[in-house]
Amino acid sequence: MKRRAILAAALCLVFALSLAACNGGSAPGGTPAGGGDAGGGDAAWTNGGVVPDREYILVGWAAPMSGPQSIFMMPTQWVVDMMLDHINNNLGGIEINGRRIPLRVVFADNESNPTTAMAAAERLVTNDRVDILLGTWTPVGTNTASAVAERHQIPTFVFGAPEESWLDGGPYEWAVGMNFNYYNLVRDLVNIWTRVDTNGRVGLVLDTTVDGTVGRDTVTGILDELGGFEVVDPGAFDAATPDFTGIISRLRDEDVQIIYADMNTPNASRFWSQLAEFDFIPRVVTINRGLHYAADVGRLEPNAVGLTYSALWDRNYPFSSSLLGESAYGIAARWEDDHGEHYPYSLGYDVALFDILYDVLTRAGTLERNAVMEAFLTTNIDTVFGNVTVNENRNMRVPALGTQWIEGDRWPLQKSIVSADTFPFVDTNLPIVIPQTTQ
Amino acid sequence: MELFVQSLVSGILLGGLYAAIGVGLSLVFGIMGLTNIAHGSLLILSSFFIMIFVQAFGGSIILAFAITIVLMIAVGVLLQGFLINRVISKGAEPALLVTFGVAIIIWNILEFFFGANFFRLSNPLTGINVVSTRWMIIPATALFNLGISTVVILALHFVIQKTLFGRAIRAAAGNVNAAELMGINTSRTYIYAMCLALATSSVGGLLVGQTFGFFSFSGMGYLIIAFGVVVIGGMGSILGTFLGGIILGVAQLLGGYFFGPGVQTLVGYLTLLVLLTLRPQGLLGNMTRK
Amino acid sequence: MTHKHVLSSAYKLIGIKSGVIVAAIIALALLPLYGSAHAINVGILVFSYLALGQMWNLLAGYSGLVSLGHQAFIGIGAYTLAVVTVSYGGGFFMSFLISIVIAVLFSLVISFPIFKLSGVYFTIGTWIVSESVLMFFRNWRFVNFDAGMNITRAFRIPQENLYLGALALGIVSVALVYFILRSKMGLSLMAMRDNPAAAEVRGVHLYKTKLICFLIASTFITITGVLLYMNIAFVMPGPAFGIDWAVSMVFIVVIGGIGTIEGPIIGAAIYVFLRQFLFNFPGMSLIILGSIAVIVILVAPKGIMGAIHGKFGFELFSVRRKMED
Repeated sequence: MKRRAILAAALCLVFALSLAACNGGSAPGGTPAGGGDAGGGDAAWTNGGVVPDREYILVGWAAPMSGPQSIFMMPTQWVVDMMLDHINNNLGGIEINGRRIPLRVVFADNESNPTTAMAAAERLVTNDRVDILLGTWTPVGTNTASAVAERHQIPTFVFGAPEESWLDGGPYEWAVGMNFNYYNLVRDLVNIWTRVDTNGRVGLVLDTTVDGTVGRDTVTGILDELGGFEVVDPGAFDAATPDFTGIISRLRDEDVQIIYADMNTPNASRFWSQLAEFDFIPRVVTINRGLHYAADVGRLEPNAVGLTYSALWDRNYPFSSSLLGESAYGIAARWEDDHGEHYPYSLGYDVALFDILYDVLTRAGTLERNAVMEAFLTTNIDTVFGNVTVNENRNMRVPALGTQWIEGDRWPLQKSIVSADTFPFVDTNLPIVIPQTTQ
Repeated sequence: MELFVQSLVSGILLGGLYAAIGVGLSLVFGIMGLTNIAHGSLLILSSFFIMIFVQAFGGSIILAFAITIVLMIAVGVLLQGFLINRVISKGAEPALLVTFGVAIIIWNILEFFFGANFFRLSNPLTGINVVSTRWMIIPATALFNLGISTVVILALHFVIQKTLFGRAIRAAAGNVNAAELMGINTSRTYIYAMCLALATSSVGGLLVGQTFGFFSFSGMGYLIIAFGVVVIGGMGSILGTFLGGIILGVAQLLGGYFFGPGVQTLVGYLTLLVLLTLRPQGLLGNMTRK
Repeated sequence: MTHKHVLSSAYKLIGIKSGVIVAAIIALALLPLYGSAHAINVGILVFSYLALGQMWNLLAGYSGLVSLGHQAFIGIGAYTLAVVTVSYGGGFFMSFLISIVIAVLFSLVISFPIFKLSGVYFTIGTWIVSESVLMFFRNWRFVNFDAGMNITRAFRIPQENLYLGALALGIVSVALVYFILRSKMGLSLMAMRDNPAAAEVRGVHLYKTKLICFLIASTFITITGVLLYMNIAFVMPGPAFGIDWAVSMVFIVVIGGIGTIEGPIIGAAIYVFLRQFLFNFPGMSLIILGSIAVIVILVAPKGIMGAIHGKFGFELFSVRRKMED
């Protein structure tokens, strides 16, 4: 009898105590962060926030380290290692309150899922008590981190989503973004179409995801404005669709010569194969979103040469990282040498992130949250994207340029920028290749 | 009208692929009553195996496929012998969690090695059409899928219905105790069934890899298709699975034809639900289990 | 030992037990006063998942309805919250009320086809229902298709309020299952689970009893969905209607011990603490989680509470009316 009562009591109390024991928390992976130094009652999420007493700057990065979006993280570890080594060893850290202290990054995996993304960002803020929160790639990463930013009033930097969909959760007070803009993106795609001789009939093959939805509104607006184009829209399809028979028949019957598709990689692969089966390869086939990675594109059948899409960064941008003093081309070449494959575009974002972080923290000179936020908002720094400043939407708008996959010299396929209307720093006199079915 | 015929034909062809995805699950489901959540991930595992061996052994897809089948049978022995046989008698829920666990482990290990990259088995039939007219197209890939799937399902049906081995399996499915009394080792029979299921799943893996391509985490997407196909056909009925595949494929494509491309998948699922309401045991389901 | 003596010691035990439970509830309710932000954050998750797990337990463990489709109700709760607060500028209380109405209506509608199915057919049928709802939401312009909605009003909810809400949900879910099982319906459920045919002969209304449990669980999961998304604040159809929710419910209930009231409590705590701990192993977390699930089931097929009960005969919440010791 007695033993049972004790067991009952133990069960209840263990439960209550284990929650209370979360106060300190455990050390985050990767870096030896001192999560355990917290006393009880330190409610870091309350107004103003308490700056933890640490000998280093801690940046918490909620990122898709597993799941479908982990493809974006291909270059991240490489960049983080290189940049932290450069900042902490070559430059001796960042000067905060008159002392140079090192920068550290702690990661939390968002599993490409908003539910986990929220838990990851919350954990970074409340358990690791980071000084700056990062949330990256697609609205899953950016919008959840921005919500945490507002809730806990912590300076937060997000990147890798369409500006339009990120702003849908705004206006933000504590989040700053580095996002591309869908208007710019589609504008440069349309510019490709105007450079090819066609009948001006544009077939839309857009899914219901955020890119497809924003893309549809944007492209119809731009084409209306320009005139001379006629839109054929079979309706949005679902990303889980296994077959494009209906859509392709419709486009073929309407004699479409330009296809604007926005879909993930498996759908792009399936769609491209089915176009070949229907023996219907229009003069322009633009498949956005699914064709970012050379290795994936190389597996498409038939050969993907001539497909156009919007690249979010390219090594041919004539700019350098202000932190490394190295050109975009040089960094990408170094990555290719180290990994033996075509560089991923997310490399540019990761490098620019550290250019910006170093600049912001140096100008702030403190980890006090309002000061860090103020420094973010007055950013004006040269990166591998060129000079970036914060616009009225709290976004450092970065370009998205019309790009084509062509036969490469080092790799089977390589990117070629064919339209840079919205970003006139890049040379775009390259010829446009018309896609072929015959291999 | 042309598009209607085209949609119908494409739907039937796609249905053949769906049947190939579902047939392995149908065996496991019908014989053990096991809700095998790992089915989709195992199917994708076989796609990865084929891809690895094609690269390793000079591009022969037949050799790679043969090795994959052997390997998947080994996986089946391990999976059934060491994991599922131990929990299958404890009710539905523990088995559910174990197969969930196996599914999660498989797709994350694949992701560990292959990242989030997209893969595809090289398909020599891409771009070739058997029938290619203005009003109807039959791609060679799709016809190949349907043909292979038909052959596999007929062969499996023959094995289950006509051979001694099949009779033992069916006996174990019908009544475990009676089968045990008749000297049938049900644990061992279950292992055979799982191996047979995984070997046929590799056919699904091959066809999916050639037609759609795959990611390390594509498995869950194919799992719901497999389950849909199996329940609609009726548990334990191999031919029912084939019928289920065709119904799902046709329902999706005709759904796309009538209601637009967005609801293609939705119409497929709703058709399954309606048919299940009308025939709660599935179309050809006659085998009942406790 | 005399009859009276046994009774009095049983009362004493009940007294001790309820005293401990009340003390624990008070200690938990006061957590915002002494716990850190992280503790509160974890507490929100533990009690929300407890509510989910306990309801899945009511379905699978007591009513024999093994559902893989109740993520549909989480998604419905999430989208009710998003639509009410974002599209119509309503409040959170309004979201809860409307979500209850929708949940009851929706579960009534789907119960007609779904209750014709039994066993594994039911399991798969519920999943197909959930996938259909997912596909519907992805193609619904009103909820911004697959692009998701930002629940901006939820950005500034104080964490303590969410915590207290989650705690209340968790406690009510336990109490609800406890009282259902102690009621006449509980007896019917047990009879039904143990021998459906005999129970029906004895006058147990199978359909009605199951339907009531289904309604209660669905509604409660919907409410929990609203609360969960007040925390997550960004809803997309895929994750909101994702099978992940069902996986976590199965994990919590089966690991904790299916068919026991204590099981989901233990399971929810283990699940949430484990997920938090696994943030230390980015990229490897799901492999570890899956392995733990498999290993625990191999060692203790009836879950942790089942193993404890088998060894010690201990139950915190006894739903049996004890005769004599």
